[in-house]
Amino acid sequence: MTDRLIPHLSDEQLNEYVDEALAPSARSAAAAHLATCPDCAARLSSLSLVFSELAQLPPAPLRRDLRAGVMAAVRAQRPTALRPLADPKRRPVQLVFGLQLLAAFALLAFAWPFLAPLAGLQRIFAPGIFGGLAAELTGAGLPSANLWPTVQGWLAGLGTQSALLFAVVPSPLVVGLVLLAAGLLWLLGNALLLRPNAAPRLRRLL
Amino acid sequence: MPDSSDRALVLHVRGGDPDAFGELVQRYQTSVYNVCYRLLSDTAAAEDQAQEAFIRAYQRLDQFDADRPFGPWVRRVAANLCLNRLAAARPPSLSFDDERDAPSLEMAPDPAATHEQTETVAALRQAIAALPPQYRAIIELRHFQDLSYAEIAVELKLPVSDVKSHLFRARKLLATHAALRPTEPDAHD
Repeated sequence: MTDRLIPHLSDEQLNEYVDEALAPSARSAAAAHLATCPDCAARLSSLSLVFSELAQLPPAPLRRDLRAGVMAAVRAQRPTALRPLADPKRRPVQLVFGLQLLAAFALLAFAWPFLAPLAGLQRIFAPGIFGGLAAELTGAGLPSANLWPTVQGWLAGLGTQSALLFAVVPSPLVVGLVLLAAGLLWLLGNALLLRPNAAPRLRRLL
Repeated sequence: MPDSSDRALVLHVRGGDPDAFGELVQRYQTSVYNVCYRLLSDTAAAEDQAQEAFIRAYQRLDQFDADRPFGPWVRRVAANLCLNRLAAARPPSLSFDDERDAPSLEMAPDPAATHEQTETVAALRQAIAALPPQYRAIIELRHFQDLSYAEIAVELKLPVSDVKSHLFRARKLLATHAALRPTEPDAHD
């Protein structure tokens, strides 16, 4: 009769109670029940004994030293196994890689308006593509070759050093090409040298 | 005085000194062997798998975070190896006929060590060995590797509900086989 009146804890509840896997409210309810139910308290005691005996189980003795076998195998494969290892502390390299990638693309994007004169190539190679792209960029509010006068004014404001620079750099197209080359080299160098796991692949290629 | 911490040894190995790995083997071979023994219930197979676990650990040392403890990691490598082995041999072994495979107490050939073992310890070892492999795996992962239900589910590719039911059933079997009865017999079993 009593059993019908008191909803005993299920095996699952008891196990989760000992595993500390019950939600706080369920755990409180289970604890309250265990405090008043000798049957469930006895089951809990039995279950807890399994836990404590497993926890106290001493290690079984090892019959032989494993070092000799392990080290023989390790030395046999040493050349491949001891390749330069990726220390987790090198994870920041991935961040640097990402940032440099973004910076290189930014540089390429910055170079693009200076390359507007190349749109003339559309007549020779791909009619419409360059012009269309330039139009898209202009439509998107990006500056085109018209940026050059602005840059000129900015450089002039910097004084004699900028004047020297201006003397060396004869046209927006050259500036664009230099920026393009720098961006591409940056992108290529970054991809080859900094990309995670790039070094082993490079070695294989070489 | 050279730094002989696990981390220092791992870094030495990575730096090209494989002998430092021997020291790590020396430190953890017993615990790794015990993982294998609890899962495989066979002394020779456990030794082989423990050795293989160290070799795998060496091969994967580049994936190991040296700032984390080496022991749990290599024991997990061992557990995974043994679980794969159990899975490969699983078809006939999920029945309770596995209890016939329970090793005798010969697992501790050192007389002194055998003498030190209590009857309860011996009974518990036998009870673990008598469990079906999947129950053994769950007991190992929960009680000796400290994994949560969810982590065990991922490890064994089982639903969490199955993990719970297997775990609870395994504990009950352990209590029964090892005759772990602190108080009166269970009223609800």
